[in-house]
Amino acid sequence: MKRYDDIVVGSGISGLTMALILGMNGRKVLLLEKNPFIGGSISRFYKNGIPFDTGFHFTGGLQKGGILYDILTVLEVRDLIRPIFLSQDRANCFFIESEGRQYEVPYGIDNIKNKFKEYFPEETSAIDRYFGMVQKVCDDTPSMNLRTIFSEHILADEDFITLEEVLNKLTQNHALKALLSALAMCYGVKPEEISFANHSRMCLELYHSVARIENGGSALVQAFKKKFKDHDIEIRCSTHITEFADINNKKVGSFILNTGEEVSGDNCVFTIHPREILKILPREYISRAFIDRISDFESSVGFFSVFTVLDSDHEEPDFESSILSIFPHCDVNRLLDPAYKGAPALVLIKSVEHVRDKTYKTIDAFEISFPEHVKEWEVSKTGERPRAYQEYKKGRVDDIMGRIIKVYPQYKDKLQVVDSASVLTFRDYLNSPDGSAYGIKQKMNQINLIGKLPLRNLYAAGQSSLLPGIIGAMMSSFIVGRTILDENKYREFIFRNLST
Amino acid sequence: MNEQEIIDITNKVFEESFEIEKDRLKPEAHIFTDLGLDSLDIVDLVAALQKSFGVNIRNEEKVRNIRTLQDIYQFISAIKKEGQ
Repeated sequence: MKRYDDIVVGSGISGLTMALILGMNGRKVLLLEKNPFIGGSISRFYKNGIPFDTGFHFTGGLQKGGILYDILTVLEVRDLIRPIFLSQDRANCFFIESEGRQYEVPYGIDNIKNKFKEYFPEETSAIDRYFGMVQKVCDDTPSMNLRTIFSEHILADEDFITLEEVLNKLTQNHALKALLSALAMCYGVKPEEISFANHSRMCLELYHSVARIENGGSALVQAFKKKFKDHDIEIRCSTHITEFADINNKKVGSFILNTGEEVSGDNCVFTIHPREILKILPREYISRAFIDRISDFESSVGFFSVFTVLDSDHEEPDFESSILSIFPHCDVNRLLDPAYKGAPALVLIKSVEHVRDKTYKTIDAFEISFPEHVKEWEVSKTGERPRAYQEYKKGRVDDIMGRIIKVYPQYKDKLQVVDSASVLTFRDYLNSPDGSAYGIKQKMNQINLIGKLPLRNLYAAGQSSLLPGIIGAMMSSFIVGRTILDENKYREFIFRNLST
Repeated sequence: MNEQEIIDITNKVFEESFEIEKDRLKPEAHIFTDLGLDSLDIVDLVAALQKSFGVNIRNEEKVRNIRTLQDIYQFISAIKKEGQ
């Protein structure tokens, strides 16, 4: 039987991070991935030779000293990727249709504050107070700071008040409220359900800077692969654990794989969806309370996506990476409600892609969607979906194309649909239980599944464990890494590359 | 909510969520040594109590000091009073 120190299950950004943290500390690591390739939703896919992003489009925190900059520094992969910072003065544009107005939101906290004060001159004190509160919550949160992650997770008062309640106290201006909660699109929870603290933790780094990565998430995957070679981290694709064996004193001795092979490991970290973790834990070792806790987690939003490319003869010299979000109205709670029937919020991401000697101008469109929208076809599988589903998909693609041309009339007859994906497509492609984009919904007062599982040498990490998105997912792996590694060793590891 | 209701709901959590027989649920029962919970069960216990009582449990220090069922009754009772 092959022996490892640690087995990591799932090779999304959290699993990649977990495997590398352990491997860099001299541990013998096996990384398991159910799909035939690693990377999960950060991997790009190619269609007609054109690259498109699956789940990772842009991020905050890549500026010098930002959280992601620090994380990549510690993992020694920062030099292997190249950030593409979006135009600072209009990184995130929001078109609110009911207001008939486009708001260009820059980055840099002072820039955003100044711009918002230009848009809403009556609301200067609300704007100052909001950004002051966001900053304070993040300053007080050790779990989102690599340097202070050693201390215990301490909740702030703002963990017990919703974003909605805070905004209602600050202002009555609907457009301002919508803009301050608009980044809910990046975590998929209603303002009335998320705590102000978690909203702040998700937003702060995006307020500091907004960047894409050259070659998207695949550049990260390649960077990790290179580091895995340096540290002898073994990857096995199309492989997953089917059974635990040799359980003694609530510790798993060995793991049986779908290939029939049995491997042993001191620890096993699951970076997959909590509901997938629940499926594999033997019933006799978990309580009803544990099952209920996991089963009560709800899904975050998903997206219906259309992947498009501009005709190669389309001339537009100043075409650049940009993000435009279209909100039909200011009620973000409704936009994030599965029962909402009106026009959905739509995000359009422009990107210039270079593949060998060719250049492509792509627009990825993401419209909010929920598993509820495709419930009638939930038992179907990719390639075997019924005609009604194909019609649903076509209808939604046509709608989205119409909305794109409405905001970019210059692209009429020049924009080709290359591919499209529903929540079910994402579900089946990524082996996720529901196809949601951000794992479980981060509701206030919810106790997430992170760290030790009921069997003592099993752990949970991933975007459902701490916070969604690449930063939250990676930070969850650092938190679990600290538990597995000796405290001093972990500290030495962090500060080897990071200045104090 | 009166004391008996708090006791009944708490006991129901232990009966249904931790599958512990009713006759073992005495106020002085130690949740670890008598009822067989382990430290990792505490998070699930807190989640179950939050749900059953519709309260938010945030004082981690007080949670850590819980030893017996009686401690839980008192803990919930204090939270309920605070919330009023």
